[in-house]
Amino acid sequence: MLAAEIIYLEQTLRAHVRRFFTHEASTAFEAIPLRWCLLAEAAHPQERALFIPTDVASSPAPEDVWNVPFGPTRLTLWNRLPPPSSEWQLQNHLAPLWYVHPNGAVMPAWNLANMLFDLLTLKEETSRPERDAHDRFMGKMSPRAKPGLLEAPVFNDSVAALVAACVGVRRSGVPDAFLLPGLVGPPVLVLSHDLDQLRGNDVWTQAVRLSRAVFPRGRAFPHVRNAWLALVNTFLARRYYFDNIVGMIAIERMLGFTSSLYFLNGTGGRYGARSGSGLIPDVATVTPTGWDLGLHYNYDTHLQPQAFGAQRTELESLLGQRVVAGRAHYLRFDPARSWRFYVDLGIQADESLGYYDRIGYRAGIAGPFRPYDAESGQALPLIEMPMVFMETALVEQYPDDPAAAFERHLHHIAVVGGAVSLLFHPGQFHNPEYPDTLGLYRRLLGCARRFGAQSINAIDFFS
Amino acid sequence: MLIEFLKDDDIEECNDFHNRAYGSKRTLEQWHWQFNHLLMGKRPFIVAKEGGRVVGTQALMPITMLDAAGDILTAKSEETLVDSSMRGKGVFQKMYDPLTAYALEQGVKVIWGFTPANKAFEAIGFQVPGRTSQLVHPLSVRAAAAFGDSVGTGMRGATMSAAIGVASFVSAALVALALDRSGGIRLEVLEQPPAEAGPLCREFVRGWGGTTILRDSAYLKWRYYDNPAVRATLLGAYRGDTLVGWMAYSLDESSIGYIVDTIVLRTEHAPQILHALMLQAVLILRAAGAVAIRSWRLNAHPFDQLISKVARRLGFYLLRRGEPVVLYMAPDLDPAASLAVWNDWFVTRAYTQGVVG
Repeated sequence: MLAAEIIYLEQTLRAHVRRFFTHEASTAFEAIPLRWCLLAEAAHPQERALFIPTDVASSPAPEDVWNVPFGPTRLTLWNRLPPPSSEWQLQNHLAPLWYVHPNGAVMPAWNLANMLFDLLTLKEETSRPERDAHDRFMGKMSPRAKPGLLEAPVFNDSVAALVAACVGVRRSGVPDAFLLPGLVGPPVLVLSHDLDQLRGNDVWTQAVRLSRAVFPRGRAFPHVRNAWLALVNTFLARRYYFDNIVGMIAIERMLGFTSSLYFLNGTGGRYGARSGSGLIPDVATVTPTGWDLGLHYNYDTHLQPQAFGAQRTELESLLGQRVVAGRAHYLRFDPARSWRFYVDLGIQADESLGYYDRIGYRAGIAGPFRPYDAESGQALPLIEMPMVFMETALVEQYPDDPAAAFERHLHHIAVVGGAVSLLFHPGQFHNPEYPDTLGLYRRLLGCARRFGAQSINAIDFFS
Repeated sequence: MLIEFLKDDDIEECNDFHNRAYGSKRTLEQWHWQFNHLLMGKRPFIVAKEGGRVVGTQALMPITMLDAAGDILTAKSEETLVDSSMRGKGVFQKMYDPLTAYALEQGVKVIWGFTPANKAFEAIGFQVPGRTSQLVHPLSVRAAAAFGDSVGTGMRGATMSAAIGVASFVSAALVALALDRSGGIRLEVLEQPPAEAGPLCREFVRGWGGTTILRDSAYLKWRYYDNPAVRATLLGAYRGDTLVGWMAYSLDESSIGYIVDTIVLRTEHAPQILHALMLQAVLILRAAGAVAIRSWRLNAHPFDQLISKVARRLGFYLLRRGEPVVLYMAPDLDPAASLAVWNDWFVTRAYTQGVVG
């Protein structure tokens, strides 16, 4: 790793600790020196410090996956490191987490530095050519998909292990294998809504319904009920779209959350803003203080500065305020160019980094981070809050009990620290057209409330 | 068997005991929210222990009520629970006796509660003056859940579901046809407990008579804004800059909506104000995905009657299902006082545990 890359990674780790751990944990973490070094340099350590090798190339596909108990959860790790010399011994052979040296030095048993840096810089995407028809890298294309590691927040697991190690080394000279109570802050839930449609009666959506009513479209028989849905949406165009925004805000308010609303305006069409821009000021009127209004980057603005700028300018004039946060429609995102593009176009917080086909941690992290800019060798002035859960992916992946899957993740994050984000579209929130998601949003937020989750909007991480 | 006031070390075990008995997931934060109210410096919470293990609990929550004569200290009966292995051994009475004695010593005038175990309460001197009933607004065929097991299964279930479907259609039509009667009234979500809540509540009692919980800003803050389970939304009604009423509503995890509480000053416009508040609450809960909305209907208190009248015009149906009310009057309570007359009580879901708002 280059020196700039190491500095970036350390800054990202420290920012994460400050954000999600208590002052006591943060102090312990700062008290133990981190020594980024070559594996060979760690062979005969001269001081009690945390040695992290940076010269062991990370395998593109995860190898040697294992997990270790960590309090009430388990950490999932991969890409094992060999000990630098015979002086180092695994602290626990049954649950390998740390190599310990007789002089009190400690070294992770996994390739922490390269693995986390590669994940944060999306190396698995930039090094592979596969893309779908919308030029997207899908979850199933990731080398972590097959071994089931997309749902493993390895960055958070690594940081939690590091903090526990520092606390233990500081207190008793050996790493702790769990975090004592009171060291981790509450889990954070970042909510957002892509306002793709504000009405259900646009020509594209109605055409799709009617075609489903007439043609089988992959089913054994046509789904005649769609004709009824088309009729309902003709007369109650706002009921399952605009009104659902009011409903979602009502639920968030009852459970102590706020959210970001990302408006799709600009070009119309099948992949564009189907509802036009007329209702956008009305949505702003019903949105309380504390909720954030942002941009849902239109399909045709992907890496197109003029189109992006025009959409943003139009939205700002409709809302009468600056817009500095958003997410790409269809999650169109170029791992090599999009972040720099957003910065150049004035975006401060982005939530595009997620899979439309899977829930999971696309950059291996549950929480916000500043993307690395290889050109300048520094973090970009942008907060990326990766999208972890999208309602459609959640119910498709866990049709029997999507709320239980959500709860499982939240339970883990409550132990290791971090933030998960949830995208829920208004049209999916309370709409007879999508029975799988009826009542789901209320159940998910209820679950988060029981975990004492804190609500933070993506833009509020930018400071 | 040991009967004693709860010690802090037993709190977690008591909460686990409750969660095991009800199959619930009440957190310790919720427990503290509910029971950290001392009565003259002491938490009125009794535990029964056998072999060092908690086998029974009984608590009181001090609640200030008021009538035209002023504030009255009352207590709500909560956490009545006896382990099945200890039933029939008088544990309930053994827990309640010291609790009642302590409460009366501290000036509590009435102990009240809602419980299906009314026989046990009657046996230790409580009265059962009535039962709770439900006003239900069905919004969907899925509202069957709101009606509980009364829907039944098989043919009966199918018939009931069809009836609920028709009822929800009628209710939807009544809401669609409801006129906006909020002339001159501004509705606004109260983001913080209003400072004028206490005076408004006193004015309410002067206008409508009877007795009710004193909903001052401290009470509202605790009951709604700091509620760790669900924070019911308070919708305020203003005439000019004057708060003239509010309605609290919430939604549970089964998508059942609740009208938790409402207060409107007695003026000639009270029916219109109540109508505007209730219509708005129905529209918001419907947008939030509620399959049905429930509200309590209790007795002949004039404001309870008005709620019932307005609710029915908006598509609510009366469902006579609920739990018995139990009351224990202090021996020195004036029999003519409002507290002693059940129909003088104005009761809403604000009197519940607050688990669903």
